[in-house]
Amino acid sequence: MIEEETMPHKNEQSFAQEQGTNKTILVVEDDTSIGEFLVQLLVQETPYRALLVTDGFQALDIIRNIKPDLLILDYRLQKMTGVDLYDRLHTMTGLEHIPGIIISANLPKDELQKRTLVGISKPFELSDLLGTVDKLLA
Amino acid sequence: MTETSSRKRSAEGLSAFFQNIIARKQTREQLQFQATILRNVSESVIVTDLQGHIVYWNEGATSIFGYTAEEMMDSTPAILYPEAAQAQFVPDIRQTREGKDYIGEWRGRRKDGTAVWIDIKTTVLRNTRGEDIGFIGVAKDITARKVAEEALLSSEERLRLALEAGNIGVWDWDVEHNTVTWSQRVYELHGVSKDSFVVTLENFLTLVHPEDQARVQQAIEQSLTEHAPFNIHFRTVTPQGETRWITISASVTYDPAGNPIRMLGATSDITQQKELEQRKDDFIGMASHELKTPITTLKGLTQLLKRGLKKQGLSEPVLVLSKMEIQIDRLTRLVNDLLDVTKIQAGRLNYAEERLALDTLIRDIVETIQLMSPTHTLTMYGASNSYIVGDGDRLGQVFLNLIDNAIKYSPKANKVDIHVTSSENAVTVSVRDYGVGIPKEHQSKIFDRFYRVSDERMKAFPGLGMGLYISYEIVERHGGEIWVASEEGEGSTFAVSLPILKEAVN
Repeated sequence: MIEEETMPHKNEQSFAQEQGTNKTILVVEDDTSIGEFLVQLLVQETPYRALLVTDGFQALDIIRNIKPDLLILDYRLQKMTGVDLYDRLHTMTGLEHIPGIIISANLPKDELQKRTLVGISKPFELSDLLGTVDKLLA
Repeated sequence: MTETSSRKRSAEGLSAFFQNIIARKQTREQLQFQATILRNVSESVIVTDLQGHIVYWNEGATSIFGYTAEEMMDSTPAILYPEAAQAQFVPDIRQTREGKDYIGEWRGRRKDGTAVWIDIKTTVLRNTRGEDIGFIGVAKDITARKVAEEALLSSEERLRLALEAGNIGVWDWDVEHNTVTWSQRVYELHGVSKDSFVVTLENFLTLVHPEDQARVQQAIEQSLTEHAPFNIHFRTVTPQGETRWITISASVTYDPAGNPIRMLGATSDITQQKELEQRKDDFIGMASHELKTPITTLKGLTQLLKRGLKKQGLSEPVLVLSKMEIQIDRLTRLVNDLLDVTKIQAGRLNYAEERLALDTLIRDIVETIQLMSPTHTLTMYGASNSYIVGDGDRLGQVFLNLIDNAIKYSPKANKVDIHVTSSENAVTVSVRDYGVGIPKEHQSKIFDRFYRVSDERMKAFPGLGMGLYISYEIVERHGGEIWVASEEGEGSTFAVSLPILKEAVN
């Protein structure tokens, strides 16, 4: 399931073309209540675009057409962790330096420390998440 | 017969005559002498005729069995051994008459009915013509030894049964000569056979899971050299390929110079327990996810709604939502605390290692709590100007908990003081309240899990008794200390000290 909250009527091609002017955040979250809330939050409170997918395969799939500027990944995804997904995305052309935020009810601190990943625990303060997003996309 | 020999005989006869007179005299004295000994030896000496009737009974027999000689004359020793069947006596007697002394241990009964154990030797008594005329039994009281032996046996038996019931194997390693003895159960636990497996330290290590070998070896060395107690969990892989979890507890004995002589240990299978732990850990992970997911959405949507209403300038509903948020945060903390306690129990509480500016950490927390606590003025005194290494979130949790408690337990006061001081090696942060205080008898227990002061007065304060336990664990894991000083009615001071990070000066 792919939701393009910001521009539901445009196709992927035109969406990609506009990236230069408007940064895109890819949210990977298998719990749709949290995922939809995150997208709503980002759309309402930031100038960035937000895309939601619910598992790692969809993320890898969408990456072929769209190069996001920031990843917000749930840690506990089906079939792979958010950190595993980050590692895989990180090896792809154009994504070598993409920043990432891992959100989790149970943060794997040692795994985060080895990478340049920011961890945010669930539940979180909106100001913390929004502040981190702004900092990473500045 | 020759003349010489006849003369000789008459001379001998004479001499024999005198000898006889001397001998008779000596015999009387000897008899007297021997009778005195017989009377006075502590052993029981009993003489019977061939039919078993007692004809002699000495003082020793009286003191062992309690019967006097008069009482026992003409009766038989069977009275003394009510438990022994006649059938038991017969072969013994036959053996004795064949000239073999009978030696045995018997359980008898004293006159007063109590049990007595004796060690008896029975010899056949013959007259000068070599004919059997009776039996002499010499016996010793061995009750004390028997009781001790039985106690030892029963304690060994108890130990054996307990080890069997607990499926515990025991082993004994002679460190000096490097020989190891295993009980049957240890062989079974490792899936090897007593006939084919030679127990040495090296061979034992081949049975340890490759990933655990270094750890096991290190633990053994540490316990030998550092006199550390040896307790370890590891996996063993049997030659059949089965992996089992094993726990070993051992103690080492040392010679006066401190060199290890012997290591004695108990080994048991904890595979099932480990599987349960794994299931529990999985459950914790799942529960933390399941509980926090709806809270996350709830909190997020509440805050989002609040932002929207704020923009519209609607202060009334914003206030209501703020109150909702406080309750959501409280719920979050309870869930987090419950999960933390479970994780501490499982040894699975994760810690990050960051370089932290302590003063900033404390100031941020104080400011955050001040925003939510209009009733008390929080004041921070002093500064450490130091860095520490640790988990900022976890340490923040500790100070949040202490300041939160300070406010909670001082409903009539209006301030909480936070002092930060430092010495060469440590920083100390103390949180002082002017509240109800903690009675002396509770002060040592308040860091225990689920401990709540049970005084009537204190029941007015809500909570699950997890915060201080978690704080204690976190501080301890950072190599620090936490303690309390309190006077009833005067308030409490909780203090945390943490080691300072010493940085190399460039």
